[in-house]
Amino acid sequence: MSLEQVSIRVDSRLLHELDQIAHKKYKRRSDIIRDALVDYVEHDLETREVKEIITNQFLEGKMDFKDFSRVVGIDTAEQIKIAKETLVESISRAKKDSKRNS
Amino acid sequence: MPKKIPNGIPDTIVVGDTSALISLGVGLVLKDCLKISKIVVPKKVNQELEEMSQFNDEDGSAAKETLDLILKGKIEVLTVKNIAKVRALVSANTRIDNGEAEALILAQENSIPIVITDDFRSLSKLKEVSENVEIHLSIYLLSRLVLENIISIKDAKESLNRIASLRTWESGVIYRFAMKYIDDLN
Repeated sequence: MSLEQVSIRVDSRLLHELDQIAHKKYKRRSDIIRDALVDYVEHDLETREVKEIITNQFLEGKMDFKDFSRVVGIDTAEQIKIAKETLVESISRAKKDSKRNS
Repeated sequence: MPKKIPNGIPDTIVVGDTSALISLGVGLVLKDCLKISKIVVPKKVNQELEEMSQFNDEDGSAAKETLDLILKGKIEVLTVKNIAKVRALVSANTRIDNGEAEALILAQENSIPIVITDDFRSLSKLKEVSENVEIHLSIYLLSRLVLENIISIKDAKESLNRIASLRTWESGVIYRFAMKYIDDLN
């Protein structure tokens, strides 16, 4: 796998803390950043998978809104709830309009 | 061509926002949708599509296809009269962007009964302020394509799969869940 170079701007205080961590671990700054990125991506993939399973359970009526929002967060839970309601309304309106046209 | 009622006006007309048009484009059904409904867009959506058409990905291709339909006059671009109302809507609701606000106000000004959007983030707020306009997902048109025998259930599910694969995990779950409803359209 080829290594690509990226350039980012970070807050100087964060950079200072990062350098302290690197110093304590006898690592280079770039190694710490690379490790953090790997951890982030792995964590995101794992939590996304869990969230998808939980969301399906909510959509299928196997989980109540309170428990669902505790796992995915209230904002996401509300978005999913409204999206499901709108999905049902959209299909219902499509049926009505198609019947009218037939 | 859209089905027509005797006075020559297409029997269905919807205002599309950028997210819904991109979904239908990515799902390869946008052209088919014009057989059952007239689609109009506000200027801001046209502008957003122009910006997206610069992307070298599936969304960019869908934006290009939509712009091509606009250029051919198949999708009409209309101007919102009350821009102050658009600005007020956007400033009062952080989740509603300019394109969505123009789509809603355009529908209200022209008595167009439906706005289609696939932006789940703004859905709740849009529905709160939509007054006499109904807010629907692009699946409204996709379902009608199945119900009116323009495409098969298999085609519709493939379309949903394509859309789901290119969206955030939240949207992806909803589109995949929608397949159950598509099966029931039989």
